[in-house]
Amino acid sequence: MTDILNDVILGLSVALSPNVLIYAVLGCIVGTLVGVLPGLGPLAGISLLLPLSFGLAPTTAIVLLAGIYYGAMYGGSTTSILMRIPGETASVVTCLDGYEMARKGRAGPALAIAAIGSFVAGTISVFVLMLVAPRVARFALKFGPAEYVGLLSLGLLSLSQLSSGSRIRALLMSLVGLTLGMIGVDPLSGYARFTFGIHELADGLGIVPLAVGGFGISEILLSAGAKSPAAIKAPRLRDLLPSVREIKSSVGACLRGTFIGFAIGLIPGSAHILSSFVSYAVERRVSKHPEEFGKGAVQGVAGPESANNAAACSAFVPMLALGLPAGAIPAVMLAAMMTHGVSPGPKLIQDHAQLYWGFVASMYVGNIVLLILNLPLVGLFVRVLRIPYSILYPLILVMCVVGVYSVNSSTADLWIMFAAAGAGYFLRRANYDVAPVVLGFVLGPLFEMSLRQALTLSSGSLSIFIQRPIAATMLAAAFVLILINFWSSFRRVAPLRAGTKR
Amino acid sequence: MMSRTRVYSTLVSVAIGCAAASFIYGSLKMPMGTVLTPAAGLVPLLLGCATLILAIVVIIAPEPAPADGAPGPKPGGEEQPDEPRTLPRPLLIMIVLGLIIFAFERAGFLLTMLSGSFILLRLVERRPLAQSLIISSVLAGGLYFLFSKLLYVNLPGGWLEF
Repeated sequence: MTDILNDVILGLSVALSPNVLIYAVLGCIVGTLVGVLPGLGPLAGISLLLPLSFGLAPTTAIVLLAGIYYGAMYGGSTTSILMRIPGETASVVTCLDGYEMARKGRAGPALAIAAIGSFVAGTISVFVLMLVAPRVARFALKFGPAEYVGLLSLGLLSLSQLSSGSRIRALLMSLVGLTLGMIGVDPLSGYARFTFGIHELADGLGIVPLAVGGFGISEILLSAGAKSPAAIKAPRLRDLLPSVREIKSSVGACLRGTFIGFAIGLIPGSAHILSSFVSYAVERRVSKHPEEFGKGAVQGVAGPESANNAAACSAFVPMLALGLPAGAIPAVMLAAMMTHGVSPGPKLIQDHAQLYWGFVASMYVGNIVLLILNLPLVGLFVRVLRIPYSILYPLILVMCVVGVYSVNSSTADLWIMFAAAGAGYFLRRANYDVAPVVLGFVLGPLFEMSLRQALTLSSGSLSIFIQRPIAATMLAAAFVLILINFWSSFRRVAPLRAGTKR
Repeated sequence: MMSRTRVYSTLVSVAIGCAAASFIYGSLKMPMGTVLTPAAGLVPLLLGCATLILAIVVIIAPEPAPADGAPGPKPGGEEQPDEPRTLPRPLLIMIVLGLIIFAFERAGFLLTMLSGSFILLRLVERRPLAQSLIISSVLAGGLYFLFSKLLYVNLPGGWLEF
């Protein structure tokens, strides 16, 4: 314990030294800016600004990039809450209740709860990371394709929790998303599926144009076509902070979100994007008022935002402890470390103790900086809602165009966004929800690839899903959840049928 | 007499069904493999079939009463207006958006954003001329500075070539 305390003191002395601290603050500011812009997510932000870190000392460079990462994760929720435009995949869920809160004049509390939830999750995750990183990282290595199938089965089940409307329509929308996810080159065989010879479609449709078009621009179109013009309530000054009731009901959601996010973030690959979706589904299930979800439930913001940030933190565990990146962002960070002559891995703590503990401590410092930075900014962000909508929406529209274009510098992405906007408009006019399309789109290719990899590894035997304990446990949990869903549906329908017969 | 939402819903479900049918047709041309060793076409085929079946179910099934808080035409205020004011306004926005995308790489970022936001403000929203000009200029210039100069995003120069 004394060793850890000494290490933490060493880390804090590095992270709080003026030349490192200033880059942590700079990274957080740039990251928040990147996150607020639609389209530009943390990966794009880090990749674009990576060359800037080349001239810096290794610790400073890593702290700067980590600051951009956290800042972008924080900032991503802002446009989701204020404009229903998800900055990145993890923010899609925040749109559901965050935007509804904004429409009711509770944009300030929604932003504040998102910031506080992120801070709590980030802080707890850093502590856990300091204590158990190497041991936990070894657990993450046990995750193969079969385990992924189990996890993604649970993820697919959470799809039904995302819509507050008809279950059958939500299922149809999930299938549309899963089907859209099949477009592009098959990663296992290299076969081009539904690309129609358009080489831009080889990588698939892209989540950013799909989400920005389907959520953000379709909202603009709906508002433009409404009888009464869009009237999001501009909050009063005293409404900027959350009420005691809102804080109370967020505490449990934050803690559950932190646990879910940290556990899922550890898993190698793209599992971290599941964290906010799973957290939302859990919050809805444990809530005494699930009917409030989709209408501005504060837990629907607190849980996913905490999960999102905890996953962002724990995604670094396999990278720091084993030198294995758990996703695209840690991979870019790994590349940055190696550019500076630092080889991450089991010996990182011994060989570069100053860098390791400085980086870990900077995560904590970064969370404090972001909280200090973001809470006062809530008032400023909320002022955006005071701009007349007839001026605001052209602004949002052109920002969406630039944001989506900047991801791949491709007009094909813009046309996908255009098509998604039109489709989203008609779907929502027809009482369909777009959220399950987005999650289905994210999960579909992952599920297919994991399933096929697992079956290839087992030479076509399903026993791989039973022999591996983690996979078997998760598949059993998924099965139990299906049974619970059926049972609760039966309990709802049975009295109605009995009443009809009488 | 069907409500407009019901008409939309049926049309959307038919469109999804047609798309699913073409998806199934496309999948059949791909290598299938077996159930235990699936190749590129099997999963899309199964998904296409499931989508088609569910689309038919939604078309046949009676229209569910929109749940409070469910998705749907609820732009703006607390009330959920069932009918749109006019269809052309969303259509106009889509046309302008299409033009912006079409011109983006050809005419360049600055020119497209300037004219696109000006058209939206002046012609679609009928804002005053001077206000529209000022807002669109500040917007185009500000976004250019932010993305190109601060974030190093490669934006198309187009006819102005810078």
